[in-house]
Amino acid sequence: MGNGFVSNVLRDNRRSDLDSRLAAILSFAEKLTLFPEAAKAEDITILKSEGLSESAISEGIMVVAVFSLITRVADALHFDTPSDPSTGADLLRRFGYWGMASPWSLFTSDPAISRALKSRDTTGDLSDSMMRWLESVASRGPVARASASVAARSLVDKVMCNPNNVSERDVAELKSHSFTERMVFDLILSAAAGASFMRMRSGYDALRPPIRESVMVASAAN
Amino acid sequence: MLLLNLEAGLGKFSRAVLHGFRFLSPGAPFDILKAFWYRRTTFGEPFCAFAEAIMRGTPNWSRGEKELLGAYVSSLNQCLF
Repeated sequence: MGNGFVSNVLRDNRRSDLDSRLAAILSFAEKLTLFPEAAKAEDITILKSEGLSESAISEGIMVVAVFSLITRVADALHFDTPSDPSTGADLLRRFGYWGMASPWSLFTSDPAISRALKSRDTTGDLSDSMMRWLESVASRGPVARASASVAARSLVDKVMCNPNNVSERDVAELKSHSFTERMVFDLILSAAAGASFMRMRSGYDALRPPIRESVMVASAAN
Repeated sequence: MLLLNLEAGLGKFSRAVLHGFRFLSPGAPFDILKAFWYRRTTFGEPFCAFAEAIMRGTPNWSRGEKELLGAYVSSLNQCLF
């Protein structure tokens, strides 16, 4: 895909020359990102009418979750925007996502953990594993919030809703409550994971009700 | 970068690799590497393993389509990174 095509899609995902399957999943991703609680089974019906399988929809939900987390961490911590975006793309092409996990992973092409995850069924174990991980990371947030203050709650709310608004003043306020930088980082991470988890759960709640209903019907019949 | 001592919180080997990267690839997104490596076991490794599996290992969408979807989510979140 060329850069011009991508830029145009980012400006308008309802372009008539866009593949209808891709346009449909982009619209669903928009709803999950901006109004996650509004995702409903009717949205899934629309996606299926465009020919998308449950597995394809599940993949779309997971991509939204991945980027909902990382964009919040990047914005809340005010990551420097790379001076040359193509360098980041080259890094990704050469090392993949796993290559960035640790200094050691740069030198290991495909470790067991990543290989094991890749082999899992898209609609099953992989999404369940990711939701469990997000939930465990997010669960550290309430602990910190309870032990701290209005300042911690304020930071969590900003990361979840408007991470660009996190400021040095927020960090200074937390430090005045004896927060170390590691604790601030963990709080930001847990809030970002919470926002990501919420979007994933909304997506799967919309996707999975028919499965749950069919299981209940089968259980009742037995 | 808001939390300035992320790099100071890294081990010697991580800092050496980061310096090497700066030399070889000056425009690379170092902040994301620092964040992953700062909390390697609780963030970097699990997150990157999931991202690798989802963005490169699942069969229904091409890598390009998934990167486009990710870029769209980033743009909706007004994230330039």
